Amino acid sequence: MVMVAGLTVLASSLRSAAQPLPSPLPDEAVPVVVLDPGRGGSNLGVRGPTGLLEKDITLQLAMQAGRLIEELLGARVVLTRTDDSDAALDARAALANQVGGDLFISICAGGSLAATRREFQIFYFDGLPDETPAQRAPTNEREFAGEAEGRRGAGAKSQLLLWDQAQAEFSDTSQMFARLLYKNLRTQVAEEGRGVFGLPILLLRWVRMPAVLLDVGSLSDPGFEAKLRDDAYLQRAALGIAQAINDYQALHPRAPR
Amino acid sequence: MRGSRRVRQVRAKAQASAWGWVLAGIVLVLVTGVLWWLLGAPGLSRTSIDGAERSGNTTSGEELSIWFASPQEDALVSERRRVPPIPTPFERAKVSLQELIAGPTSGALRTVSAEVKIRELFIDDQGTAYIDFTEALSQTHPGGPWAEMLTLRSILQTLVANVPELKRVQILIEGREVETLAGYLDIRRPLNTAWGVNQR
Repeated sequence: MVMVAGLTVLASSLRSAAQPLPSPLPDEAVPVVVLDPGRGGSNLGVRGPTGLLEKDITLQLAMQAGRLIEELLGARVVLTRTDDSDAALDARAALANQVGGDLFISICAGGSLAATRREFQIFYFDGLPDETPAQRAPTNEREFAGEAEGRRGAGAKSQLLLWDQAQAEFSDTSQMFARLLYKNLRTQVAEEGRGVFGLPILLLRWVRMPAVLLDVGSLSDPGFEAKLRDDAYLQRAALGIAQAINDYQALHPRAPR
Repeated sequence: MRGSRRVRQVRAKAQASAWGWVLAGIVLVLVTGVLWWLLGAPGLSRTSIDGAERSGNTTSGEELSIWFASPQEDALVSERRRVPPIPTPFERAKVSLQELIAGPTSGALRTVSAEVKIRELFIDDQGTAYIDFTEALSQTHPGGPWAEMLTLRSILQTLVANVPELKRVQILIEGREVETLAGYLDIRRPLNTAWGVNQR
């Protein structure tokens, strides 16, 4: 009964994103990377001083990174949006969980309190200081079925997960991937970067796989906006993402399913 | 007999000397007390850089510690505000937040837009403050996870520095619980004020 309720929530979340319900991907030894271009549609995000929009830059970088990941690494890439449409946070997380992703990378280009330069940052999920299991627990029917209905096999043991705890078991690997991404981006875009930080990021909390949020930098800074308009810069950033995934795969080869 | 008279004379001299010391002590205490009163009881307006202690009430009001973002956006920094005496934690929380909204004066960065208003404020007996902001808190926010963190932590740190009784803060916008301030950080439930302590 609870499982049915959970699937209903999942399905309604996906419908709210105006996307067809994705089928679980076939069970094969190809890793699945989910890229999430932040914002979209009427959700413009940050607007740069000369008009560059966050929603456009996140989509462009995600598509460039997706192509490289497929071509260079042979991985399968799923984007949470491929056009100028918005999706709620829970719909993005639900899509990633439904396709059984191995890695989730959300991309944003945040603003800053002053119109000053702020280089890229990587975030992983870290809960608030006094969160107890009871506080983390859902207050209503927001649960979802993971193992049993996903591509992880019809024979798998049924296991219900609390929606708010989806990220909990991936905390270490998310941090590890965040550091790999930080290292590779520094090399590729020749910036120091601001660092790797743990914050209670809601989208990451709901994702059931190693997950990070990449903030490419402050779009509100005129100099950085100009950089983001440069295709070569975005291509180097995309290569940094692909190389980080390559390093991660070397440490975490995909287990047969 | 002559020896006995000499002893009495020495004893009388010693008693006179003791009374002199006592009188001198009393005068010293009185003078110190008068000076202390005249100089406005130095020491009562003590403050602390970490915001953990609040200055005491004085006849000229009290001092609040308001926390903004540093110019490099890498920490929270405090500014002092002298305000008239505030009788209750509720009033102190409200005045502190109004000072936060009024903005910094010494080169720090504003974390909350001047357009934001406090619609309601309520503190329950468990030490949780419910603060209902106007939607400007979300709509005028510059965006991004880092800026969101600075805004939330400046609110928490300002409250905990001036109202140490508070344990948690639930942020509401236009009377409703919201998932995030501007798309990133989970604020569906009350935030522990410990999260707002400046790490620098």
